[in-house]
Amino acid sequence: MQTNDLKSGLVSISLTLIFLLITDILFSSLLPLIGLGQFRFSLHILFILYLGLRIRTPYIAIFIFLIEYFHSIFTIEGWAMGTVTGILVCILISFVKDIIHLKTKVMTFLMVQLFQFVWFLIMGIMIYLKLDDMTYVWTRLVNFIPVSVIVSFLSPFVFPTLDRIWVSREDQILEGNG
Amino acid sequence: MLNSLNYQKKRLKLVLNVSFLLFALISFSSKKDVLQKTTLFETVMMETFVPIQRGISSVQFSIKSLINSYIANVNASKENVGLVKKVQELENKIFKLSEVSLENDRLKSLLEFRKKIPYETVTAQVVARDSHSDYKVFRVNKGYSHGIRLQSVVVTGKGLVGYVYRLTDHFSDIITIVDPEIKIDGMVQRIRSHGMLEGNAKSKMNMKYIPKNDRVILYDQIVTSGLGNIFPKGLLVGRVTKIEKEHFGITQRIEVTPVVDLDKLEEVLVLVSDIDPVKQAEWDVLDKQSGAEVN
Repeated sequence: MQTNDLKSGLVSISLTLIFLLITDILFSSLLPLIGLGQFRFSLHILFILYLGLRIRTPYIAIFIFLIEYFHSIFTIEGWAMGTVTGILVCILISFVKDIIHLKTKVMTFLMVQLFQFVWFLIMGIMIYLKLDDMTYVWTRLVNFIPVSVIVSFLSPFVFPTLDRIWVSREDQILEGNG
Repeated sequence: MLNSLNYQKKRLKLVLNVSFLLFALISFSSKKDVLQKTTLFETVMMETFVPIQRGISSVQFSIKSLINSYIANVNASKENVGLVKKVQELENKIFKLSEVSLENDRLKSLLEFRKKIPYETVTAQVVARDSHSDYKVFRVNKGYSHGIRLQSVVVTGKGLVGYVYRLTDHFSDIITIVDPEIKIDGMVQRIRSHGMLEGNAKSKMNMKYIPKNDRVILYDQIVTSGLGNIFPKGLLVGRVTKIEKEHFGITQRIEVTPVVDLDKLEEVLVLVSDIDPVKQAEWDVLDKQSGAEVN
């Protein structure tokens, strides 16, 4: 899937950001209410992995920054660490993109899980460099594993929704060009 | 022609990737502390979305009430529908009253605590938590317009909670004492030994730099020392729950459990006294010094 037109990309990313805001509001408020306060999570990683795995665009860095910036409204983590990690993960994905086929739900689950571990690895290195404390990284890993599995389980359902946001735009552009 | 177009796209992608990577890395590495001054855009976004979060939180009671009533009455409904209705109504009332009673108790203890401390306070309600469970951060429904400022200290009747690290006119984000980014100068109340308290991401804190010879015992109370110009002296932080002494080294490892259950907070007090002019002068001098060092 190619999105070379910045204008069409901006429409798609706007819809994606709305989707992100809705999920962030729901997850940050609803999960503690139903007793899952220990497993709060956000879908921002999933959205960035989707861009890396499915979208071919030169503007991916801008889109990653926008996703992380909007997500930072709901977290103390800020946008910088996620942006660095997101761009690095997407660069890694770009090397193996052509041999990855997300045609089945199982494959989608496995790939998302794999790249979430890569994400954690890069982020863990950054946290270690900043805090000089490995115990904090291990503690985060314990929490990361169940949360990453939940996010991976959601990926086969979230990706088709994102496909509709990104593909339908492109179809319209193609039709318009035709 | 096609090759030239592809080359241009690749070059644009490379330039954008490298630019944003550098921009984010510089921002990440230059972030010295957790305090964040909100931009106009962030303020607008927070002011727009936090009421929605608050709205979702406020339905908590009705959802809980509904679920509890259903479970409690599922058997009775088989016997008599009328009776179930009556029981349901009564249970709803009792539940609501018990919640009101609990809330009253909490507010009463906060009020009593408020009278004891020599600071102006603002009572605030927790409306949301950080979207990552790794971060011990929550959001309250009071902000700049209520007198709260950055680094205003947050407490409950039991003890210290944290401080304000980001705020808008009507909402504040509080970083709690168990977050690894916070460091507090603490003191063992009984023997007056100083140490550095740091969150350890297990909802507890590690107290560092207490000499091995200082006789700390389990359940010793840890209070703030007043050093650092953020937390006033004498606020109860937690109790010692683990002590490890090694053969080597000159200090001991102490684990402190906060007295406040940070996962179950509903209301908090924010200390909003004006900044002590002496402390402000100290800050100004430190700021000037650090500015000079950077230059």
